[in-house]
Amino acid sequence: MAKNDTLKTASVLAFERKLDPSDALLYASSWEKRQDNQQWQPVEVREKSVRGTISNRLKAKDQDPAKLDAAIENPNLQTVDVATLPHDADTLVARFTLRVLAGAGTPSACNNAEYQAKLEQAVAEYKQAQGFGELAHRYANNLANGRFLWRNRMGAEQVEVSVRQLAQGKATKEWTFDALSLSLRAFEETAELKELAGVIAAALVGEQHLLLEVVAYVRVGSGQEVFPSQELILERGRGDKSKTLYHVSNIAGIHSQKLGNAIRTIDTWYPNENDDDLGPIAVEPYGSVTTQGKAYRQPKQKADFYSLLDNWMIKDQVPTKEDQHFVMATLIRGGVFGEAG
Amino acid sequence: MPTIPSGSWQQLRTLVEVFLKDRFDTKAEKLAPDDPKYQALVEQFQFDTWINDAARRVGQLQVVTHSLKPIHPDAKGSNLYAPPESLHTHNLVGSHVLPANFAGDVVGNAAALDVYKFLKLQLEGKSLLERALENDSEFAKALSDNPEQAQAWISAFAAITEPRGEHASHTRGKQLYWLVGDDAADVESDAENFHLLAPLYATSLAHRVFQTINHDRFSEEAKEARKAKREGNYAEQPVHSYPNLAVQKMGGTKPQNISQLNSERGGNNYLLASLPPSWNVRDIRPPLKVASVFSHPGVFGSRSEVRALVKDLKRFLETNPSTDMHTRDLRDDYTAMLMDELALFAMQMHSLPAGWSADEKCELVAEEAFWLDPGRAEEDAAFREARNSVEWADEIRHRFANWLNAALGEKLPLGDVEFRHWQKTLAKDATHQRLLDRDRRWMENLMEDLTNLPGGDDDE
Amino acid sequence: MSEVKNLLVLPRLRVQNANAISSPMTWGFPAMSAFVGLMHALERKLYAAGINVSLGNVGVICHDFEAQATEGGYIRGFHLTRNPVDKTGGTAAIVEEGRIHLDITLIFTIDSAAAESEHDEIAKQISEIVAGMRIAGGSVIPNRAVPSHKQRPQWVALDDDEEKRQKQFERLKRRWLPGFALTLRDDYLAEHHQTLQQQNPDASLLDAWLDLSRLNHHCALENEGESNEKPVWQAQRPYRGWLVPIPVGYGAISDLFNPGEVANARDAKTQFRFVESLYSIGEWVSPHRMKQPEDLLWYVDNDEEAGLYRLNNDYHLRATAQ
Repeated sequence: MAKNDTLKTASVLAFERKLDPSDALLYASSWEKRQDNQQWQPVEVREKSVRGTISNRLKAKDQDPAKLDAAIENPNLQTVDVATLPHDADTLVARFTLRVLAGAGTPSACNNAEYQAKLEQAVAEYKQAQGFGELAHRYANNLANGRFLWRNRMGAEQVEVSVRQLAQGKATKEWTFDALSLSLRAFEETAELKELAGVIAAALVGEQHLLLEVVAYVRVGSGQEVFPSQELILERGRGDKSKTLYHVSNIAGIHSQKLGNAIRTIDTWYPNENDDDLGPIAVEPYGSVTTQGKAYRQPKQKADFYSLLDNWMIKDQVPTKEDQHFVMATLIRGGVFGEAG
Repeated sequence: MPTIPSGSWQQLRTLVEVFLKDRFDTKAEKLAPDDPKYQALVEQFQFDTWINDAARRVGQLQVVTHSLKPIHPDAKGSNLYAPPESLHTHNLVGSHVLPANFAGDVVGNAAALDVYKFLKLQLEGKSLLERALENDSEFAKALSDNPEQAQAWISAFAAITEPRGEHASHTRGKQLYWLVGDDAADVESDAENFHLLAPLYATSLAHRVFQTINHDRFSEEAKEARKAKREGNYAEQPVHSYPNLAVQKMGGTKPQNISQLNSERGGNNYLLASLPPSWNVRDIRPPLKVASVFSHPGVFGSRSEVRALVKDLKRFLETNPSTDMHTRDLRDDYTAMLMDELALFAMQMHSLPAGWSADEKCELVAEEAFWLDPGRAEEDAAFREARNSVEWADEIRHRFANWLNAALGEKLPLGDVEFRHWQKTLAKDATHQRLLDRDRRWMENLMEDLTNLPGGDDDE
Repeated sequence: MSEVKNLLVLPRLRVQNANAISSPMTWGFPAMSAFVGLMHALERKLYAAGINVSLGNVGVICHDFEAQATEGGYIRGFHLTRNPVDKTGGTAAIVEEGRIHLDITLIFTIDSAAAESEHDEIAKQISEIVAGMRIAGGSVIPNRAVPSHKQRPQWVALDDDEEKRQKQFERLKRRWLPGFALTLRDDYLAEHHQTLQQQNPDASLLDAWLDLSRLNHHCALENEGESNEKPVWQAQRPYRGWLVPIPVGYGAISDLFNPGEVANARDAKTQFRFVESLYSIGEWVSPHRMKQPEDLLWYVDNDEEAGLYRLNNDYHLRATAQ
């Protein structure tokens, strides 16, 4: 293929996210009666006081001995938010919806028509050769295995995930998964997963609009602590709560962004020098993993989204099948990717 | 000795020399005179040397009224200097309303900010920058006795308000399509039908707002007035408060990366609230230990919106308005707003967990409990029965009318005519009726459901 | 004077994480320009889908909202959801975004050559398309607070007969309760500016705007000069109604550039202009106080000569005519 010398990267380039989850709201139920949503009680966030110990390293300016004494004598009484199941409920219920939008790979803003045409061609070729089957298969796994429950999944005795396809407010199809029987490290293939992946893929291609309702039942034990999302507040005043948990209309919740991150935790194609099995990471342009403060797709290895996309579009270096998956998954994730001087 | 005319080049020269001396002294403070660094400083702060260098370094700065980085810290592109007099005037609030002494902002290399300090030096209320922009001949003379050299420097300084490089936006900057034609969907004519608008942050305007709000929050006068108000004392100065004022952080721990004024604001951007009227669910409490929500001032009457409305209405009626159409309209307007409040109040009470009126601390008369806690009827058969057997809605209307009459009547000779007017208004009010209708339908459905239940109602 | 013929009503949309920061100086509800932008984007999607309708004006009724901001204290801060990461995995520059969950009804004026029998189907299709769109940056999610029959999209052909038309509107208004619609009060801003100027000739429009955006508590002496003299603090409000500062569009701060003249523009075909946000005063009004649909509808009202790209709403024409 001829090398393309004239095409330049679009300086304005943006994509909307195509997997759009709602927040998950948390309820309490009993395992036996979990299907009866009339019996669910909202999980509430409440405040509690804890006597913090001085374990965090003191800042240099706080190392005044007098201040230190005072601080040690008055262990800081902190208020934090907590959420627990009531004593008569052993099961956490997390419910959210996931909208899958058509038009994966089509930019919402692009200021270079040639580039856009090239991109559309590449996406069309990808659809032709690969289809969205592999990506959809992985997304489906992350619904079925309950990865989106994050910490709530750990230590659970049983986790059941039910996924319903909604149309005009009614469920047209339903799949039920035993989440703990599915691995978080691999993507498995069952008949049900295949079917669910099929509808997700169809929606990404733009064949049919898709709205899924996902309900996870997590048997953690009566009165156990559960884990809604934590709010990030840049400037806390003195005496403010040191931990604020997310809630909507007084019902504890998990942020949609957190769910989105779990669902797109499908990247197993990143460079892995030591050949350790690190498992899938979330699709991010630089393969960054916030919890580890690490980025697995470095520009110097040309393994990041920008290098791969530029090489593909500008230099006609078609990435490997795996990296194509990654690039497409990043477009589905969405974001502002333009490169202006 | 001839006096030096004010605003003359001699005064300006002295002003600059004092500035340079101060800066030199600060920098040289800890150096011995034989230190080679000291010598270098002496060189650097030679008048001509420093000015020449400043005229070069000024290129790293731009004085702006509208900046880009607050839109996104990674955005790179044009910042603009659009002083109020350059803008169109119109009846909306924008930078065009700023006074002539508005605060300009500076973006660019923070290391060159001393040049901006130099340009901000003032003589008789006019800065060197303003003088440069006006191409002031006295300022030119002050800089150099070589007119060409002076002119070159002045031009360089005056260019601080010019945008750097070509006009540019950025992928991280905001750009929106605004309809200027007739048809948003006529894709063939998009180029004519839309303008691309790139909003920049009006930093000079924001600074003015920031200073006003900060003055109202933290100035000595404001603090004293607030203290007087808190303690019930007199104060000349009013207390200004900004409900639901929010603060947005700009630039994180490095506000200077956004701009000079942002740094002066500590990276804080105030946002005034446009929130719709509402209630915070957590603020809703059941009316316990009262016999009626319509006592005085009462749970309903104590609500700040209601209080304000009643006060306004009372003041209006006290002016003895004639009973022409205008008065009636205005009074109806007040009435409608009171009805809004009543509906809002009832809806809030309905949002409490059903059965709250069964609490032993609840002393509400039965009719008000029927009105405000309809959900209790679902579980409580006796309550349901009683609720169905009386015309409690009439009683509520009566009580409301009584309450309002009393609230307005302290100084007003309100008679039966007015009383009937208010009672009638409530009966006609759509929201109130809708709530009652909804309630009635809901009760009917509920009764139906209950009679259809196997075993039925245990009382029947 | 009412010229609106058809209304398309999308009732009780639940929007999650809409943008709560409506301008560099206001927060609490998305800017009306976001809803006008939605309308234009929707019109284009409908065109692409072969549904030929034109939308003109838009109104929003807010039934419920939950701002993602700190409560209590003198000042509110925003709840953020993530620390963005840069390419090294470190924390990237944060742009503080404010979010709000909304329960709103959207009302569009709609015109179409479609037969009346097709209206319901078109309304349904539009509602499906809107469900997949961003509204003020937020996502439409199922609304569980309202029974589904109250969420059905409606195409309302307003009757030519004034009396019947009023009845239709009454019915609509009842469905829109409880809620508040945003209206525009340019008139209050101008009038209050004059009021302030009577005391201080230098008072600016900005002063008037700020004065209407805050509570002013004044102290008066009751029974002044007598033995029972007593200071009384009162919040003074120049106008009744729930007034709020709002952005209403943009004003030019540069010339109009030719297509392609400005680097890194979103396209090279459209004229380009740098602008700033412009502000006025809005009033939240309960729908049952409205007299006709126009009261809550907003429309684009530019003055290109003056570099003014703004929205307008005519509620004040009737509200002051009383």
